[in-house]
Amino acid sequence: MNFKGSLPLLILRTLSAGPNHGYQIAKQIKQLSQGILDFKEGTLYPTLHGLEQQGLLEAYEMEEHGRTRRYYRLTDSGRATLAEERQAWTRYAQAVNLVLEGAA
Amino acid sequence: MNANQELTRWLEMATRGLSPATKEQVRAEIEAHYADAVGDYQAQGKTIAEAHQAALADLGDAPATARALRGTHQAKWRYVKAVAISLAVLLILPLLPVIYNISGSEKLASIVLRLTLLFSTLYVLYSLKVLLRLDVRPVDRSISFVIWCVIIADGARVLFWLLFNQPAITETAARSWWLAAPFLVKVLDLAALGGEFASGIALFLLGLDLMKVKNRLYGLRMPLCLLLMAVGCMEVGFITAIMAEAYLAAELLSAFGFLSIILTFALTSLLFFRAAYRGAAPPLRTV
Repeated sequence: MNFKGSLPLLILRTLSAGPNHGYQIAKQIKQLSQGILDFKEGTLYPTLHGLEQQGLLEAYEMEEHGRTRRYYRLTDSGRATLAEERQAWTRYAQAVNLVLEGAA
Repeated sequence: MNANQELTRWLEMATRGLSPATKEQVRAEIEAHYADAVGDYQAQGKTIAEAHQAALADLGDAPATARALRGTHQAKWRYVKAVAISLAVLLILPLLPVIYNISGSEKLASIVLRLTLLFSTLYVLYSLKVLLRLDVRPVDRSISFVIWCVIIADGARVLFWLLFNQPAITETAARSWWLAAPFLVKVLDLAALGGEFASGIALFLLGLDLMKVKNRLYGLRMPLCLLLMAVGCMEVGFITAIMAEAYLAAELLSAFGFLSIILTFALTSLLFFRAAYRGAAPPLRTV
């Protein structure tokens, strides 16, 4: 399903459970959406880096199985943005549902 | 080509145009991602070749990733250049009388003015598209409209000066000459006149469309919309006054138009300074 535009929100939500690296973030989004939200994983990294530039995420590196991994965690600003965007999304989804139910 | 070579080729394409440090960071990150994916696919029972193939397919289109990575990592530098270009316009426009006095050439001053406005407008508009990112759709068409009108109008005026060593007829108000003019003169004059009139309309529409974007452009969206609409009105008014041979009104509109253009570039320098300093803020949702 095409969900272009909501990937930043989904990343923030995934990271609200704790720090993680790109592969696990992608995997969790796919698993939590039961495979409905499928996306090309290469596009995950520009979005992650963009969120980091905006100060919504912080990145740090950790050694894992002899390889340096880049982990991301939410900043306070990211947490606040997630709360705002979540509310906005809920309002939007409710509005669409109202229209769909009304039209039925 | 084996799996490692395919990944190397994918990474080369995806990181093209990035700085060496960023390139290295992105490569390391995606290589780790790829290794995890291959491991998971093998654990699910795929052969090593199938696992590599599936992991590479999951990464998607390398050129699309490259565009997105460049958009993210070069955006700040683009905004810094957009500030420099906007400030350069603010410096060059008041210097035009000096250029005219030193060189004694109205032609040189006019060509400098037109080319400065042309290239700075194109760069600033494109930077605005980058800044709006996912939110660019409401203004995409009107930005393209402005770009083409400005290219036609300014290009025609510069060509006119170069070929005929005088400004386009619409500026000399020699309307009678128009009737007897050769074909190329008519075409260029019409392009200059029509292009400027259309760019006025296009700027007005861009101002209106910019109100529809969700990105508030650091609180500068509304002043920018109003200024673009003002510049558009002045341009349309100026051409209309010239056509109606109302030269006093044309002079007044030209002066106000010039002032609006200076204010617009002052505002875009502030906008891109904020973007470079604070980072672009793309909207998080499609709604």
